[in-house]
Amino acid sequence: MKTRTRVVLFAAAGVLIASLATGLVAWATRVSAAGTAEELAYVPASALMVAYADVRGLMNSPFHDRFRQLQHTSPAGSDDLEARTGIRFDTDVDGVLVASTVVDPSLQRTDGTLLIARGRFDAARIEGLMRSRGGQIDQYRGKRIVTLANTTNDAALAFAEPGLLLFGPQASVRDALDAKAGASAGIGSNREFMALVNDVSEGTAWSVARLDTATGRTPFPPALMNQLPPINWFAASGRIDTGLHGHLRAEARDVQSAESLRDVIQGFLALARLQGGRDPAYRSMLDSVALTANGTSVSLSFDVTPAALDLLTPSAPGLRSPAPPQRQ
Amino acid sequence: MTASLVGSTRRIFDLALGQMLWARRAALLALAAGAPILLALVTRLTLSSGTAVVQINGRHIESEAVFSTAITLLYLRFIVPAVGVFYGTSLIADEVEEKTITYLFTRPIPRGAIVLGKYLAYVLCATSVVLPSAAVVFMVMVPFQDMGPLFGSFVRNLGVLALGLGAYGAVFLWAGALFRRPLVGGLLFVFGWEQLTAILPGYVGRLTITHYLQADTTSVAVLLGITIAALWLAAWTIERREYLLER
Repeated sequence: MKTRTRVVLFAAAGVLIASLATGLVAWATRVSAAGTAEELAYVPASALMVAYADVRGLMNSPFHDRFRQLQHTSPAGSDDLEARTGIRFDTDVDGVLVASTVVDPSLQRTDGTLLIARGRFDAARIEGLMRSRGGQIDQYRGKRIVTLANTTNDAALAFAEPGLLLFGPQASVRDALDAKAGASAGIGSNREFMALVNDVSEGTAWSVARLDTATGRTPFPPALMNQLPPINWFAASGRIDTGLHGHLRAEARDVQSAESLRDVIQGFLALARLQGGRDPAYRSMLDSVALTANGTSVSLSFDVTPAALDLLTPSAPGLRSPAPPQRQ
Repeated sequence: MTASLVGSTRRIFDLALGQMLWARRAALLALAAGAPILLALVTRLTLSSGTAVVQINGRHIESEAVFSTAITLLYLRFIVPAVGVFYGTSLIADEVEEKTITYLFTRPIPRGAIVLGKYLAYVLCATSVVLPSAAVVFMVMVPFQDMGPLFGSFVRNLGVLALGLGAYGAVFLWAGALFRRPLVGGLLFVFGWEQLTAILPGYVGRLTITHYLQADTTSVAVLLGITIAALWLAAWTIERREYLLER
């Protein structure tokens, strides 16, 4: 092999390696969101709110064990879900991502909530159940979609990848497949949104919402939004292990709105301390609250410790620490 | 006495690689690699300056979406088939045309080594130009903070491009071993048949290579199957065929 041939090949390899290394660094620096990156590829850019829950992490946490003990008194909702869809939420689902898509009257689009679940699904059973209710099999972008459309239902279900299920209104499911195929813009193209996702995605569960109050497009009730200063973005995350470590962040429209929001929250916290300060459970939780404001960003973090959980769930038999022996 | 297949393949590979990289046809390869980079630079500068926006069906398209469109329309639909047909058909057909195949056939090497050596040289030559070109387009089009979510699909796209180059090259290498002037037929196949089937309903699309390169229907097994089958057929053809050289 001649020297000039070698030079060309090494130069080509160098360019390729440099590009891959740059991409790898970019990927590694946002590795926290990597667990949901594949699911996020299905979320259209028009989404107003995205929420994710690491169901497996949640189910395996000591925090969940406490609530499982509480289920002795609560109805078994998961059994009903299993009967309707064949999905056992606690064993079959690893993670759930929910996206609320935009209402666009100009395109005669209704609001849609898209559910993206990763786990182990019995596709034949789920399809069979939907077909028994009048569902039709359709093909879209090479994927099988079971649609259920009548006067009372507008639902579609697609197994987009092995172990990945899309469920929601037909338009939302098709939009999700469009976004994945690159035929329409995905949420990954929204830098502000993705920056917030990277900020919160370390949590066991997280949510990012765009609050476009100017057009009334918000995932929250207007009555609540009217009570708050103008907010553009809201993000929340919770890390769940033996307790709950919560983090809330709001991006206000301007610095003045951020200060107003901080004042509103401080007022609520003062009221809460006044009301529940005597109760040790609430006091420990309120003591852990940290409120910070930086520019247009207002953050609030709090911890719910296992001890506070014990005190907050007095009705659960066996959850509280044993009572001290009474004096005779 | 016939030399071993591996040793002979390596010798043919060394010979063919130098010829390929410095032949006049390499200008096509340079154009194939350079044009998308130039296009990407212009698009990125235009988009970032805000002087123009790309819209599809009324939706604003960011530079990342332009990158995936470039991979689909520019590389998979045009550059990969074009490089495959121009280089693949020339591997054997040019030796016949220039009456130099006799020199290869008179060497004490298995004829299959000619096919393998030339094919491997083509794969290295084509991938070392097309893949860096796609990588540079990625770097130009996608801002660093957005590379993370797209890195997986970028690597996947590089793999698909390499598989596409391999499959097209093998098929047209076989065509070059089989027909005297395979270029016209090859061009008709990639820019006629393959484009036509994209708009035809039903399963006709499965009779193309491009079908297995698309994001929805990528099949590594089928592409590798096509490549291996075409290489075997090319080797089988060249072993048995008697090439009559025109005076």
